[in-house]
Amino acid sequence: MKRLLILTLLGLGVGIVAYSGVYFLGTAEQRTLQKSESPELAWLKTEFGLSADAFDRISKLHYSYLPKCDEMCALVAEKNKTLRSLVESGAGDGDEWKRVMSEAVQIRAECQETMLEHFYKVSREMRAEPRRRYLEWVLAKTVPPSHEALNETLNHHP
Amino acid sequence: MMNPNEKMQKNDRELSSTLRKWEMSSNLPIDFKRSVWNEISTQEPFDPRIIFRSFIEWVSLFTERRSIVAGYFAVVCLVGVGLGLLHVKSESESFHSSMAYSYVRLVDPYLHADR
Repeated sequence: MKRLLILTLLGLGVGIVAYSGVYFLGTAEQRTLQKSESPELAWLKTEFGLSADAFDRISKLHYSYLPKCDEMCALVAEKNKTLRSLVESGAGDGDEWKRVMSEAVQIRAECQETMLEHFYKVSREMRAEPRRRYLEWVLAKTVPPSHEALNETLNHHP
Repeated sequence: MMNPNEKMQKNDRELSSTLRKWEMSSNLPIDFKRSVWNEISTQEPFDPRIIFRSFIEWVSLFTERRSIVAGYFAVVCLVGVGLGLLHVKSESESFHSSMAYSYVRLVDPYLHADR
């Protein structure tokens, strides 16, 4: 009985060691990416097989785009706030509403233009196949072509 | 009466003097060095199965049913590896989608505005 217990425990130990070894080795790359300065960019490098030079150029593009993105983000937030206050005040059907809505549409068009310009600049630093894959992926995520894609984007929202 | 320590020291001294007196009665065979190196170079390369076999032999000291023990450890090992691979697969899928979402969120002003 004691022998059986020892053997069972040894077996469990071997199983746990095998499991931990595989898990540790299999997730090593993810841990390295997460420890990097900018995990999203490090992921982009791995996912699209970027060379060191391409990665440097894309990082520069990324960091020069971020302030513009923040600026647009502030404009979007401000316009959303104005729209909400109009709805709450009950003035949702007057001329003011139309004016704010047309400004919001204008902002959306500008945001999309700047964003797409950035995506194309980034993609130009990639080789042909990853470029196509990057554009397909990023456009599907940011310019949902269908109701299903929009739902997918919303489902990934934490 | 000597204590054990003194006895051991005396034995050591005797052994040392015997070794000093000892002389080789025959010469080393011709090509001795070469045959030693040949022996080393022709040894079988390291095989991980040897570790498994030695482990099973050691474990079999506990039981006579060696094949059952070997089978049990092989199955447990395979289950561990299989579960590890499944976990790695699901982790990397969730890591991939969370990194993809983080990137998009950084560059899309509309998702960015939700932060």
